[in-house]
Amino acid sequence: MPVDTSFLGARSVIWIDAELHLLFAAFILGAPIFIVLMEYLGVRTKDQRYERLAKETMKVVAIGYGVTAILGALLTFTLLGPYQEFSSYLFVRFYEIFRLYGILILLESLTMYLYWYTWEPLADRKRLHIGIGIALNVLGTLVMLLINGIASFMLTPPVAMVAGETVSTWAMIFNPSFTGLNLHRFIANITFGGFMVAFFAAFMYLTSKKEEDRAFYDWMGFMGNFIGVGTLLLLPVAGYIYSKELFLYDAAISTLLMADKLSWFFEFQGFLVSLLFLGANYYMWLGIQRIEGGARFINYMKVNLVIIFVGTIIWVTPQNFLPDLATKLPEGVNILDIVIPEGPAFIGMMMAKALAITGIIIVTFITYLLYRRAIATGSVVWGRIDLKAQYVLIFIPAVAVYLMAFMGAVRELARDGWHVYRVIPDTTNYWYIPPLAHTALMTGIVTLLFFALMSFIFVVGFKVGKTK
Amino acid sequence: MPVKRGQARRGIPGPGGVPVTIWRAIVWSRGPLVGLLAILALIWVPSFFLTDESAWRFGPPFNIFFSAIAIFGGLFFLLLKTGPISEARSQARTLGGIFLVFLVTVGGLFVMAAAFPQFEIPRPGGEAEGGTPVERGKALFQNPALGCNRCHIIGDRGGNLGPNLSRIASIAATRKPGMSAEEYMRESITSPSAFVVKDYAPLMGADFVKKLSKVQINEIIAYLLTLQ
Repeated sequence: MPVDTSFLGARSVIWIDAELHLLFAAFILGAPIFIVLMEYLGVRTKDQRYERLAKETMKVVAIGYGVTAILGALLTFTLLGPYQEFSSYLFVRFYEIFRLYGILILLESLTMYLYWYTWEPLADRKRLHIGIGIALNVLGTLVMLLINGIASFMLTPPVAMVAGETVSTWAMIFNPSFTGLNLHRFIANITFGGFMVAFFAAFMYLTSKKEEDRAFYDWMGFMGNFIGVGTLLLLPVAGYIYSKELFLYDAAISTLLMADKLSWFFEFQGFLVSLLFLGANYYMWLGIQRIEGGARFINYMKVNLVIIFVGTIIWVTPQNFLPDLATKLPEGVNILDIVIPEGPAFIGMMMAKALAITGIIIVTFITYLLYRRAIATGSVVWGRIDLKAQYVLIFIPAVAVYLMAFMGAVRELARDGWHVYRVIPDTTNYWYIPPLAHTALMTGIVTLLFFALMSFIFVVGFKVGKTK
Repeated sequence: MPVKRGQARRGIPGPGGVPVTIWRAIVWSRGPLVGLLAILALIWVPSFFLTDESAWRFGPPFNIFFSAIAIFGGLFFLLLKTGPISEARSQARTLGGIFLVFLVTVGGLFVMAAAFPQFEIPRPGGEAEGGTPVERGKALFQNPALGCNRCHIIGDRGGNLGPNLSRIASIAATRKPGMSAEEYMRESITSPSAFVVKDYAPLMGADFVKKLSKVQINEIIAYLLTLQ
């Protein structure tokens, strides 16, 4: 008989376990893509900063592997306790996949250690070392594809299976949302890797005293943010592709996401994404002022910020203030007060919101072009930037992690009371969709725990034992 | 550019020579403040003139929503007017500052989410609802908060993960020797794993005894006993 978890409850425990594991997994999968790219740029440009950036980030990744594995084990224990029947269901159907998954993780870990520990010995054979790094990324991506197959299966099992037919393991893996989830996660992992590098750089900048260190970490933060924002621009497109796959699979899921219980979750998501764009643009606003002659561009950037703000308002304007389709209008409340009026109803429609986010993306790109223009016409003095910029580089990853954990929860909640949508119901006490405030609180706890662990890694890896 | 503590308060010029501290910025930079007041007026003043029939009248929830965004925007554009901040005195303060950024970010996001409309989580019906015990039992069985009919079919409604209950009153007494239909049903609800019908997995949770009162269990049994 399944057991519950005392005090917190089974759902909260698996929520925290799973999301912490996934955040660390995303970091150790996303950061190596970034690292190999930086190492390659170091070889191409002969700029030693790329090499140092790659190596220091890899040190964080190497420590992060252990934490990821332990969190994975904790997740498995929780699955085998309160969710043992569901776990058995998955293990029986995906037994070969789980075995392959384990073998690939072993190979990936061995390759990671090889990549990390041959950094110095292969200093003169950079092509070989980069080749090992590419192999590490290929293995990491394969691991991600396999587990995404199972995760996407839970939301969109093959239609034949829902009808009661038996389907092959590969049909379950290549389910209707397999491509969308992979595309979205692959890009998001790089975005996440970039922002985490920026966070690391900001942390190191703020806790360093040497001028040359500060110059390096300032540059590193810029690079991390650049990669993070650059790939962030692609994410809404990947999100639309994924959403379309879900809509084509079962329109009821889309209704739940966009018009019913999870619609205010997407409102909140709109704010989170807007905060990322505002943060990224504000960072460039601060950054451009330390470029010689860069101040002449700040008025243009101010216009861009206004446009982003207007875009945000359009994006997050709700159609009504009802929390879900089942909620009855409270007594004494005028329906006209809580529904968007007819005149500006367009800004509540999906088309307007798509235009708004497109505008935000384009304007952010223009801000970057202004930044490039400033660099082309004036020299940058790295290490001499308003300290606010470093705190912004902490704020952006905090929002990015929160957003990732929040949207991960939304994807799980989209199954609406099913472990496997329309196949295996969730018969635990926690089968229902929790309200937005509860989800936001859980996401906050996960975010703070994640940053506490990451900060611990930074301090242990880079601060403890260093001579002054 | 990092600024030593105290320098900022003395007035290191920020972008375009504007003042440094947030308080000075509020006093000196009229732009964001004037803009904010204008936007707030634009949001609220029409409410006093437009009637329900107007296609452009936003209700108070929308006005509060837009006002909150406008105030956030005002503060953001005010931030653009501030100059460099000063260096922390010690490493501990730096780490404290980093932690504070996390805490304020996560706390602020939670407050924002909590201010949005919240739906109610489903709960089993109360004991004092109207109708006969059989009717109340039927309502409980069909209540999505309990989810009985997600696994058990009655007539043409329900799932097939658990046994079909369309004629359970007729067959319950034959399931376990020496047990009446009512006793069998009670045991199936309170300790489902005591007897699992052949060809079915033991999926039913043992927590219905916690979710339901004794009266509610009796009402469900009363309903199931009508299914001949």
